[in-house]
This record gives sequence, C-alpha cells and structure tokens, in this order.
Amino acid sequence: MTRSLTSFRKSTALKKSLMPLALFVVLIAFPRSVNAQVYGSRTHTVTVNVATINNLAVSAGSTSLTIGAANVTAGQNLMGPVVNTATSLLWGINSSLKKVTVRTNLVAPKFTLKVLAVAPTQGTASAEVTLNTTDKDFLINLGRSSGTCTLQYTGTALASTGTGTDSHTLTFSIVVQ
Amino acid sequence: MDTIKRVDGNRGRRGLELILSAVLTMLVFLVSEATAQNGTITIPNGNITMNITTGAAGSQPVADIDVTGTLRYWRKAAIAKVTVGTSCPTQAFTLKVLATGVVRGVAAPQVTLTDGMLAVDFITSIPSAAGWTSATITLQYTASATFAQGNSAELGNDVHTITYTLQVQ
Repeated sequence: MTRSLTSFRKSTALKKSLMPLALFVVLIAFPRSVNAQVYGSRTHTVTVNVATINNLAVSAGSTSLTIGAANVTAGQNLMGPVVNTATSLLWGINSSLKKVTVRTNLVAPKFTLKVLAVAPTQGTASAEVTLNTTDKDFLINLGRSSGTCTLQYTGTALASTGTGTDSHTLTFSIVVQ
Repeated sequence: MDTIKRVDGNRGRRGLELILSAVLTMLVFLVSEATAQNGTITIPNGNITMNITTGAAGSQPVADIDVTGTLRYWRKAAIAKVTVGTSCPTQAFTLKVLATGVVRGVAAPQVTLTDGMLAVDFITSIPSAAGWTSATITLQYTASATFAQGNSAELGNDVHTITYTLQVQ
C-alpha cells in the first residue's frame, strides 16, 4: 500500500513538472502556425473621382427637307407636311433630374419647322415643338442615363409665302429640370 | 519537517520553470514577428487617385487606367500567394485591379473590387526556391462608371482601402 501511494505521488509530480514544458511547446508552436498561414499584409487607398458629365450629340451634322410639287394639294394654301427622321439625338448624363431643350437661331423663318423626339430610350418626349428662338422643352425627366431618340422634323409652307430656303441652326441643351 | 521543506522547494522550482517558459515564449514570438515584418509585402508608391472626366453621348464615361502603383513581395520558405480585398462602404463606381509584370508567380485574372468582398487570389504559385529575394509587380487599376451610376459631386468619391496579403498557398 505504501509503495503504491509513493508511485502515484511520483507520477503526479512528474506530470506537474512536465506541464510547463508542454505549455512552452504549445505557446511556441502557436505563433509559428499563425506565421505559416499569413506572412504579412499591407493596405493603401485608391480614390475614384467621377466628374459631372452631361453630353449631347446629333448623329449627323445636317439634314434637309424639301417641299416640292409633290407636296402640294390643288386648292390648298398649305403645302406639306414633309417629314425627315434621318437623324437622332444621343445623350449621356450622370447627374440627377435633367431635361433637354431646343431652339433655333433663325429669327424670322419663312416656313414652319417642327421637331419631335420619337422613341426616347429614357425620359419622356414633350409635345412636338414649333421651332423659334426661345428654348422649349424637348425631352423631360432625364435622370442619370445614356440614351437616344429619333429626331423627327416636319416642314410645312404656305403657297402664299412663295419660294425660298430657311437655314436653321438648332441648339439642344441639357438643363436642370 | 524535512518533507515540508522538500515540497516548498518543488513549488519554487516549478514557478521558476513557468517564468522561464513564458520569457522564452515571448522572445520566440517577438523574433518571429520581427522576421515577418521585415521582407513580407509592401506597397512602395502609396495611395492613388483616379479621375473619370469624359464620356461620349450615347455611350459611357471613359474609364481611367492607372499603372503608377507597385507591389513588392519577398520569397518565403513555402510556396505562397498574394490575395486582395477592399473596404469601400459607400461604393458607387467600379474599380478593378490586375497584376502586370509578374515574373515570380502567376497573375490571376483581373479582380473586380467590391466593398466587403472576401479576399481573392491576386498572384498565385509564388515560388519558394532560392534564386530570388523579392519581386515587384505593377498594380494596374481600372476605374469605370456608367452614366447611370452618377458622379462624385452628388455621391462623393469612392475611397477604397485595399489590402494585399502574402500567405502560404
């Protein structure tokens, strides 16, 4: 009985003396295992700045409408209408709510020229605009978008006005709605 | 009386062993940390600002590409890789990064950096064999935005904090 008790005490003492060693091994192994996974990290910042960009473009520089004999109805003063849909308006807008207006530089046109935005991919087309030198709404409710619409020009003339040529320079503008 | 003295002696020795163990452990940890910090990974050129200023009507704003940033990493005892991740809580625009000029390792395809993303592989199979000490690659950032994504005047800049990590593959 005495021998057995002594043996138990020795075993316990041995375990206790090994505890610090075990702790030492574990503590050393832990940081080594961490370093084995990740050697190091670095950060830096990248700042992205996007300027305000509002752009308009017309698909072709010029277009023409000709009112001729084919557009005349006998007995009527009104000649036409003649319609041209060969060009389109394109835009790119990265600001919130905007609209597009249109005007002509021709102060006293002999004939009547109207324009309508057809099938805009964004926003809402205003009613057909009879062109004069005052800016008029052409497309409204344009948010941040890139899009296009067909420019539908309609020309009419009165026979009583006679012949001639109106040369318009149109200005489309993006403005705050 | 002798027995009591022997017990006290054992306790004292065990205490000394514990203190010694702790001190040695701290020393080993500090040495290993110092080694890890010297020669792991660095970004020598610091922070970068990118600007998107033009865009064609009917198209999209023109992306800005920046190649002024570099990344340097050191050879390690095991085959390693570099991962990349970002934090940009108010992200509105698109930012991508590509490793170019990679000689030590294999560049991953271009990475799209998204706020809160898990770190993804950026350079893999970085060799452990001797013959080189460190390598420097170019960070090719591409910033882009659509018209629909808006502008910085209304939304603020995107500020990405980008983390590159060198680790065992």
